[in-house]
Amino acid sequence: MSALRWGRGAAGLGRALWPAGHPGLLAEEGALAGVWGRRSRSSASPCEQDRRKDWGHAELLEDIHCLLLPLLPHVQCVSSSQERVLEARVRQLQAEGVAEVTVKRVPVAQAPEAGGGSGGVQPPGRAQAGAEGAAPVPSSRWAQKLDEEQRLMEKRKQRLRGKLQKHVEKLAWQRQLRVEPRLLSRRLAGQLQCWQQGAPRSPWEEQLLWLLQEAPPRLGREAPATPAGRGPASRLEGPRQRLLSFFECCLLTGHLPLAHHVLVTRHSKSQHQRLLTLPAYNTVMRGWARRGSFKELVYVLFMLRDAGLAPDLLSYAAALQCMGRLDQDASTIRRCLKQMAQDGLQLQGLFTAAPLSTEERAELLRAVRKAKPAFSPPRLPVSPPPVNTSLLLREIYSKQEPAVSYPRLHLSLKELQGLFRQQLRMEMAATVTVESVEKAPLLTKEVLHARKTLVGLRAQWRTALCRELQETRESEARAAQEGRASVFPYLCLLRDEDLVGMLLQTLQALPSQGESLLFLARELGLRILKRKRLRNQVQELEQRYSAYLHLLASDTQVAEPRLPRQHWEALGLPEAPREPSWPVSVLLQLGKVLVEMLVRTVQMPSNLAAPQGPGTLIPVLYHVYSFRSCRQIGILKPHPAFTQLLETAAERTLTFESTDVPMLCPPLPWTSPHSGAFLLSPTKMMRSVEGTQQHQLLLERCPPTALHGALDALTQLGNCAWRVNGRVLDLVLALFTDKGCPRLGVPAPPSQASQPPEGRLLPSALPANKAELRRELARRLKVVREMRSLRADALYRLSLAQHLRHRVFWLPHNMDFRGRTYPCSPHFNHLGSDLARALLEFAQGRPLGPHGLDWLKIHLVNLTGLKKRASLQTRRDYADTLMEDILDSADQPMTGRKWWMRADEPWQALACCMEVAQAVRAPDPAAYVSHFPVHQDGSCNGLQHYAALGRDSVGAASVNLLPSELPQDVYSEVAVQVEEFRKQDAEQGVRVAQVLEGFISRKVVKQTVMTVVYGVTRYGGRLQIEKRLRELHDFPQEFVWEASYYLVCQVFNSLQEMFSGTRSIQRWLTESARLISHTGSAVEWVTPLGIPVVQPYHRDSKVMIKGGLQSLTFSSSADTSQKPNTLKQKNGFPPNFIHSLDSTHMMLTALHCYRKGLTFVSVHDCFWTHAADVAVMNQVCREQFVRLHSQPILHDLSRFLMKRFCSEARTSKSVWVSRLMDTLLSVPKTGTFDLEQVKRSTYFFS
Amino acid sequence: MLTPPIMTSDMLFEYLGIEAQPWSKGAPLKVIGFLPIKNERNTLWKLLHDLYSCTSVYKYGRVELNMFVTEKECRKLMANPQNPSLYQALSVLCQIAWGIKLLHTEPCSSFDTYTSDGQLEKQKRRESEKNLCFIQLTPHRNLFTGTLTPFNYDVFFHMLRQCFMKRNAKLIDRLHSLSPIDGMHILKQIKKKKDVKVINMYPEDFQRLFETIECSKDDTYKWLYDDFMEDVVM
Repeated sequence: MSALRWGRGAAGLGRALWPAGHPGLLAEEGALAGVWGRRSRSSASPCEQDRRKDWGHAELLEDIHCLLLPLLPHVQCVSSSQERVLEARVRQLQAEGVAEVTVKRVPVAQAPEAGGGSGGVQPPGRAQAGAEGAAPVPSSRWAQKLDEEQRLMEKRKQRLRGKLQKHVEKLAWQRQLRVEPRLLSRRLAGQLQCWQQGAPRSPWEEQLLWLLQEAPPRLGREAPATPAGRGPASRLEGPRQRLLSFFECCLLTGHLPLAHHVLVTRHSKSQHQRLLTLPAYNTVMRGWARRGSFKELVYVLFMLRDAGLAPDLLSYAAALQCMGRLDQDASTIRRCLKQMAQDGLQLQGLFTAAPLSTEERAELLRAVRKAKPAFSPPRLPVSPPPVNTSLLLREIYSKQEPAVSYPRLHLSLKELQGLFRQQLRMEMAATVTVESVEKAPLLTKEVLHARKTLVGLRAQWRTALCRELQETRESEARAAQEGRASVFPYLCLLRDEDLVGMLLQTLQALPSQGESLLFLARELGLRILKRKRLRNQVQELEQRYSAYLHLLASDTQVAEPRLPRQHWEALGLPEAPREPSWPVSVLLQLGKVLVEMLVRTVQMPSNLAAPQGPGTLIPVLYHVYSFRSCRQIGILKPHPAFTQLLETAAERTLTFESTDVPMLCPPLPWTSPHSGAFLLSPTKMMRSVEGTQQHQLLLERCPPTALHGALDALTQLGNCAWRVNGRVLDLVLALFTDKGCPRLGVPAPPSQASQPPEGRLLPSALPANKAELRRELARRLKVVREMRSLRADALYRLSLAQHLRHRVFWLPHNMDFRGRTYPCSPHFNHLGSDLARALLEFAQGRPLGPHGLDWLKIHLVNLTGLKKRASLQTRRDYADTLMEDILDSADQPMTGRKWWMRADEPWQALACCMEVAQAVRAPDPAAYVSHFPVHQDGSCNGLQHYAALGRDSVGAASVNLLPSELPQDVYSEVAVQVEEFRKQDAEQGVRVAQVLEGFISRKVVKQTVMTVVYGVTRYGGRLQIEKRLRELHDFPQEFVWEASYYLVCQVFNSLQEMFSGTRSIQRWLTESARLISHTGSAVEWVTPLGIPVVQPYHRDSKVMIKGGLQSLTFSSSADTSQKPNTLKQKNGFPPNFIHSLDSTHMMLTALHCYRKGLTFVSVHDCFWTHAADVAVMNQVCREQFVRLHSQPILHDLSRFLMKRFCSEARTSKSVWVSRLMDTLLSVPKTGTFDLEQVKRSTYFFS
Repeated sequence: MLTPPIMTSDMLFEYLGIEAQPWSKGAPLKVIGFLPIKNERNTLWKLLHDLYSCTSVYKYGRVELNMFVTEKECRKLMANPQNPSLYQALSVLCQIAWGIKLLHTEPCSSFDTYTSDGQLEKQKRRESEKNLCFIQLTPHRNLFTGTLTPFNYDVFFHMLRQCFMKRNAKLIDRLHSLSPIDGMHILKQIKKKKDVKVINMYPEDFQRLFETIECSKDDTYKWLYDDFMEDVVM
């Protein structure tokens, strides 16, 4: 008995010492471990004589224990007296009808040998045979004995029961978890049975080897590795992913036995077995390997074989890891490795097939080394680290050039370390509370009372929700126990308080008109996914980060200049394993469960709504349907009294997720598609709609060096330190808390909306009048709603700005599927409106230098939108003539002449005025340290890329690729060309051409020319022009339709004339995409920088979550198992391809600027840097443009598409494939434009 | 093949010298026609919105419609709790708005249909659509004499659609998502049992239910509805 207990205790301890894998372990589990810890200590002393007394403990603890704790497979023969007790217990349990699990577990409750360490596994011996209980013996004697025992021990038992009652109740569902598989293959089942019945000569590892060697093939089962086909297979794909995700989450939260149970349950039904894939079996196997539970691992292997699957590297890795943990003898391992080689699997692959934690790696290595002492695994940071050698990036990574001066931050190591700790604390807390900038209400009695009520209500809700959460978890657990992949493990990811806090926050943020249930469910699911921690080794991270900071801090030295990513990699620790993303259906189901909980639980006293009413509890949230045309949308709506209460209380805090605010320390450098940016929260390098896998898969499949360009560019963009422009913020806040100013982009409070007309209606009023009044009211309500949402947006932005004032912060970046970069923090970044941009400036200053002031002035004129077609010199001179207005704007922005308010971008213009004023007034303007970002814009950047691709001389000149005295304006030029065509037609007597005389201007054609790059069609173009023509009052309106149709044709003709190469490239791209889509694939390509791109446009697939409040249907167009959406693929390809080029250009510019020590950020085709460095940046920008387009981009594309889509011709699609081949081979001819001229073009970016 | 000239009803009415009449007066004009067979329901909803808000033709008063509709739709319009499978929100709204009289039933085979480009359409009717019913829809004179007005009709519409979303549920459960007022109290006032189901309520019952909630005195908030929830044509 003591051995038994001791064994378990040790296992319990071992379990507790195990790296938890995740912080979010079940609370009760932790408590249990505690119980065990204590018990194991007390029972470590021999207590033979006490064995019967202890029976009571054992009974209870055992049940819990064998379910929770894995059993060490080392066997120790228990003494015969103990055996008898065990046998009795077994029979008793059988009589009670307790599930087989418990029964089977008892005999294998084993303890490590006293000697520990050496020695193989001994046969289980009689204990096992008895425990199997194959032949029930007449049990009267034992029953008697037990009765006696029970009577004696009643008291003690009860006391213990009382103690453990809670746990036992909670774990009721865990009692019946199955461990043993039911196999469908008779041969395997026979083997399993005869093995279990304990032929002493066939220990577990024999079974393992037998299983690995024997591959009973079961025909008619598709290989699991094949990509999702269509038809029935794709229908299975959803449930398969869900199941896999369930297993993974179980592992993460420490519910491995449950995962095993579900696996066994599913496996035992042939229908359900189809849903189990090799990764699913491998996941569970890996779980057992981590725990060192050999028997269960072999069980899984049995099932894997039974399903007709062949073990792959991951299966072997799991088995070997387990053997490593158990210190298995070399011969077994050797045979295992031999078998692996026979299966054609590489030994090295074990270490690279899947990311392993340090500890797993060590165990795996230990096993392998036993067989092959000389083996050394492939080292992760291979030295020297591989370097990207592509033509475009060669310079970036070359070591020859000595004069590399990567920029450093202006902060010292110590300061940066402090900032890191702040950020870490923030991410650990998961949310940030920020004070609102809304005007504080007068603290009247009502306000105070409302606040008090809210506090009270929230406290009640918190407890109620906690209780409800536990109940929900229980019921989900029971669902899982029935073999369903329920959301149980996901509910265990976060601590209860956090989860409840999240729900209350959702309630708080619910708009008064309600929000759709689908949206809420998705948001909640996503938030849980995001909060899931990536790393646990905070200390390790801190050390490594500290070392990393030596590269960036102002007061440290590093041996050789390196890029941040290179430096981070050189610090050489294995990166954190990647957490798989969840399928949409899981996200939705999880979110829905939580939302339903909220609806069920949150209640308030009815007298809040009707003071005289009875004080019963009424729900705060209502589920109602909203009817939109022919669809019904379920929405959740807060009780109006609750909204009122919130409004009255006017609480002054806002809560954000920590990943939604800028970072307080430099972001982690991007080192792989899934690691970088935030310290703890996982962030994807390529953003996509949740549930879109294809981008991530592509990225992971490419060789690591191919992504270096993108990784480094993103890291560099994120490393730019920012600060808030306090003076602008003050002015904006003053306006904001007053009445707002929509003209300047400061939204007004909803109270500023025009009041509805007199609401009273005479009863005698005509029905028609009443209807009119109703419509009027509805219109006003709509306006108020829009104002409210604008106001909330601004409130978030300004509150964050206020919160970050006087701090330095960073905006980590990631990119979309085409490579365009975006800051991760949604509310406050440099991508937004004029107001948002004006609030930001560089935290690092730079002296203006000789030309900086000129650039500031030119930038100011650019911001006003005046003098667009004037030379730089003229613009600067113009600024000088305006100096009086500029200084006045800077000094008295709100009271003076308000010149800045008339600018195109008023707030940025104002900020620039202030900067100019300060610089001018400085004793030495050249030495004035400026923090102000100066922008340089590409003029119609899309067309620039097209013109360069097609080498169109005329087009190139019109988009400033050619050097010229004055900036060219493509829109005016198209207008001139159109006018020419019109004249010809008018002479020919075309009526509409005559009517249009004098109406063709830049403005009429501008939008169409601008959007032609993005694939606007004749149809859309006509609508755009129609709009413009309708604005012209003296244009005869009856001709609008005809004239707009005529004009759009002429615009297209003019573009054809000017950009002939461009148009043919566009057509070529479109046609290729159409054909590729017809062959059944989505269009893929690789940007010149090496980023793989795939267009995620497929036919809609629907995910449906049934039951509960309502059925949720989520439709997604990114499901790769659906056919591609030809229309979107074809129309999307040209613009997406051009975007992938402009992003490449931006990244190249960013990397080269970094090498030159510049601060650089971008808003797509608008590049920012310090005033002093504008000239350098412009030069880099032009050079890189030339470099980029000197590549045979189109031929490379053609070659890639050929290889990708034409190599494996399937017979059914061969017609399309051959047509595609023809198209791809005829790459459009290009013009004669000399690209080198770009280098001298001043107005290329200006 | 004749194509009628295109003209807006405003112009037509002016041309014919038809003037708006108060609701209490008789029908200013009678219309005879067909409901478009392909989207009868949408047209009916549109007509009901027009009627309850007194817009479009109903600006002119209680216009009488004489229409051919498919038999299936006709049976739905006239359904009540006696034939629960056909009973729906549209039935309630129609019966409260109009006096519905079935004038004649004619088999579909008596009609030839043409497509817009003048081709004779093939007859491929399902069994349920084999007859067309000629019905007379006369707006009730007393429609707006009570609490229901063109000002709040949309709440009434919403209430019905909301109720019929879960038609077999108990009314009391649906009331929760309609109004914060105590459901039991309301049921007592309209003299219904507490377990009455949505499909057991007659059109008049729904009207009374609406009036009861709309007229309730004590409560600050009568409805949970706001315009956001329906995109009524404005």
